[in-house]
Amino acid sequence: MQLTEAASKEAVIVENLWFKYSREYVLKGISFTFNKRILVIVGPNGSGKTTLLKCMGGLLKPTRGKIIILGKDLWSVDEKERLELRRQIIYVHEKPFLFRGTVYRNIEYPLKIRGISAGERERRVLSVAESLGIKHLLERKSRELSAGETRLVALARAIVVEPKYLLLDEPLANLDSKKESLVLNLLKEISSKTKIIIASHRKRIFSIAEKTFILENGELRELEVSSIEGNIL
Amino acid sequence: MNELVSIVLRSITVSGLATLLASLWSIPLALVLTVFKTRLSRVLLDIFNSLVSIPTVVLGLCLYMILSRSGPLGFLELLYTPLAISIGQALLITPLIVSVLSNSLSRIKENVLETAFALGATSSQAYFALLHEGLPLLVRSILIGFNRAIGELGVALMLGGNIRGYTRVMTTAIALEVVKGNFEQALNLGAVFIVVIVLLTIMIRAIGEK
Repeated sequence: MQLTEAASKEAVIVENLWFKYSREYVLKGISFTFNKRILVIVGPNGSGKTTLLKCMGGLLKPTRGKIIILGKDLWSVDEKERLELRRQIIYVHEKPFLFRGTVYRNIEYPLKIRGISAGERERRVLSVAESLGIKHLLERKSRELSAGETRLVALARAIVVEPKYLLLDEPLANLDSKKESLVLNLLKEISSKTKIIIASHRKRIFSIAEKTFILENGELRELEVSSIEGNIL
Repeated sequence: MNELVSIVLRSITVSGLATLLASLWSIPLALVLTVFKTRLSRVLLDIFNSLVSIPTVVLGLCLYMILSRSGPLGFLELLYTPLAISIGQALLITPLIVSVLSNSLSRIKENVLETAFALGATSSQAYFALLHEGLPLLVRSILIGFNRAIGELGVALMLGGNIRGYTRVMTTAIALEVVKGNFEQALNLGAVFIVVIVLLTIMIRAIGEK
């Protein structure tokens, strides 16, 4: 399928991506183009989902292959350009890590390192905390949070910068069904501005997926969303 | 009583200076060894880990030979001065601070750096985040270093000479009372020593937590 120039620039293009940690390849020649709103990648534990997301997030350098974001190959550009690209792609870990200090400080962090003014930082932090229902947690110490609260704070910290791409590793883990719905609705809402790629096992996540891939033995193939019934893994 | 107070204050000053000196080079060294994991950094860390248990008298003897009048640094006339004790103790606790700090930072390094980079940090912003995140660990390693310095005897005795009113610190004062057979006095000094150490530890930890 030919993409228009504008759509192609917005698309994430992964070309023949290979990655190995020591001797064995975890990713074996992955190629895909993603230009929709929400992509879900499923696959058994150890299939390479996290590795793929980390490569796309600029955290792991692929052994070979290309990751083209905003029309540029993430690993061929210079450091300065890569930083600009990395700032458009936020990766949220399966077990998110929060910095020492308050929840407010954590959500504010990505804005602070981008040099955004204090007033604007405060406005955005309050707005995102409100939308995720965690405003009451803002002054709490990060170490005092439950696993579910930690996940919501990590998500808030990622979307507060309004990135072009969001890479989420198991975003529904440790959340109760009410919070799951809240997160799914929010992801759906922000997907008009932010392209989202999710690695997950959870059945509920498919309800928002526009495209689904399965990653097995380091290889990727497309699944029809409509054909998925129940928990496929 | 006055002498006891001056001994306690001298001990804190001498070991405090030693900790300050050691921190000046140990903290950057620990950071470098944590961030840059090369073969050389691993070997260096192994060496520092081994030197943690160096007997204080061995270090004291080496420094005594270097600082004595006929030694290479004899012209500095540092032997039997409080500064000589501070320098000796600083060298003694350097491997301890480097080892404790580097090992502690290594445990949080991956999480902190990955999170910072994932959120769009530059390298310097990510390393600053590591330093900020490791602040309680840094305070703890400095505290461990200070406790080791103030509690050691070999260096203080060999480089300070236990001169009354000048280089006598708590550990050398206790040792002297033991040699003289004044066990009760030695135990009293020991009790004071432990109380001072516990109070200082609580105080420094509280400051670190803030």
